[in-house]
Amino acid sequence: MLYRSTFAIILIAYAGLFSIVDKRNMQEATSLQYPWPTAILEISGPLKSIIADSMYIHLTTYLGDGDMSEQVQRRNPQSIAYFDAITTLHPYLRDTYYMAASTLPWVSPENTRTTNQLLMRSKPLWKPQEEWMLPFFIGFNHFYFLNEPIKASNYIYEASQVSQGLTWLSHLASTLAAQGGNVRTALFWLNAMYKIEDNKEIRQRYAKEIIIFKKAVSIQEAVNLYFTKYHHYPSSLALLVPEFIKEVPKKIDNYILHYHSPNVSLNKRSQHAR
Amino acid sequence: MNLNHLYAVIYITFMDGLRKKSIIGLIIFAAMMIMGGTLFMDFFGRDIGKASIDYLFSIMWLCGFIFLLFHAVSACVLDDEHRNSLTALSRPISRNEYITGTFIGLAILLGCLQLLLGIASYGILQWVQESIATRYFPYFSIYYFLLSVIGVILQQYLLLAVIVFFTTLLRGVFPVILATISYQLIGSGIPVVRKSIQQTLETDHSGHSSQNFMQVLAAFFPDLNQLDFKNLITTPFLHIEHLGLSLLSITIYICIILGLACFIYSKKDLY
Repeated sequence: MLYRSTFAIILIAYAGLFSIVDKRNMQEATSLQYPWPTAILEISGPLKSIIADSMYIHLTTYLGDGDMSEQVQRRNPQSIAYFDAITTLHPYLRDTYYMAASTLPWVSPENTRTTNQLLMRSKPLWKPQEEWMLPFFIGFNHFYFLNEPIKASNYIYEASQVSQGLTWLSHLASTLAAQGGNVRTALFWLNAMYKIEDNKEIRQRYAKEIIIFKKAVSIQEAVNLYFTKYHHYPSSLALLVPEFIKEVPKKIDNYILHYHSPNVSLNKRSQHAR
Repeated sequence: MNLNHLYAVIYITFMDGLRKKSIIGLIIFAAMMIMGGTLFMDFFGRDIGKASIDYLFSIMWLCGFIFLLFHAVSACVLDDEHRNSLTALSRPISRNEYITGTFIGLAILLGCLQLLLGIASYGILQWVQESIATRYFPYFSIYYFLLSVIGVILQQYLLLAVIVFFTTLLRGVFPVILATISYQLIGSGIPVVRKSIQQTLETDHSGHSSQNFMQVLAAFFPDLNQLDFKNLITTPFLHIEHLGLSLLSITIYICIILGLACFIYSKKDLY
């Protein structure tokens, strides 16, 4: 009898303790701790891919289905450490890059730069798998979060080279290059696109834009000539008139001409309005 | 080396392994884990094929490792401890034939286990590929799948040779298991340390002596990652550097380790 009652008490005590410990464990499972250092994880050798996969599952469980960026913000260094470890252990797992691109950059500009560094690890996958979205993400981050249109245009141009048939990407790259003040490069890409385009309507649009870009390039050349002659750049484009150009075209069709010494740039009117 | 004697040792080692219930238990465990892989792929949005391959090859590697630590070690060590080896060696079988025969017998058993798991994994992968949209599992190369299975088998043959070597050098199951695990960890750790030293060299140009020392260590503990080809199954365009040289160098390494084991065993006092 004594044994039975003692056993029953131990059983009840275990059930009570289990429910407390389990509740704590479940709370910890929904939080995110720092992962083990990557160098230690790499020692797992042939199991490192499965460890990376398991870490990805743990990370997605933490991020949940709601506002993932908010979840990242709560545990920002831990989240970054997780993404870093997963992409180091398993650089060919695309899901990690898509998850990083959709969550990390929205938190801070530092996070955006880190995201771009992580995305660069996926480079071996771009061309062979036509993974144009990955360089596109980098370009988008440079443009949208960091206000770096030139860098954005480079990556979006790379995305256009990776994809097959997505000509709008090249067009976007040239527009961004023009916006960033690199109209000559933009004109070069636009000319290339014009040559390979079969669609008549798109070719007409490109031809029209080539004329606009050529005008911008001619103004840029005038700025350079001014520099050659006076050894400094003009403070405004008006100083180029009449010696180097007849007049300053403020608006060229649906583009607006900007001058931030020493670069001439073209902004689309709708974007400027925004 | 007499081939009939060698065949007799191989046959005994192989049949002894087949009779062990633990091997059958291991196969059942592996089959259940492989089936569980179908649940694992649910966690991935895009790379379902890649995640499934990671999982299945990890199961294969893990089962092989369990086989090596719990069957191969005991098969080698307990033969010595239970004086079974003396029974065998009282016949006209040389010590070299005994060591080589034991290695080949265990290698055939391990090869059969991995082949069985490989066939099951191939079936599961085929089923996964057919049951999801092409974009989630766009490439599945049967040639690279076979190469990956060969890679896993070769990695474990190397560990088996190391186990046979440690058996001749040490006494008892536990020290051999400990030495094998240490060997595996050092082998996986060296490339990480070398990479870290390389990065230091790029920035402050110091540490050349450590780099040279690590290079010498790497010759004794070869990088088994060079035999990990599973990423190629879904990304066949990835470049493999010196595939033939890697396979050949590991095969030669196995032969050297076995040669050393034969030499030490021929000098070992069995009483």
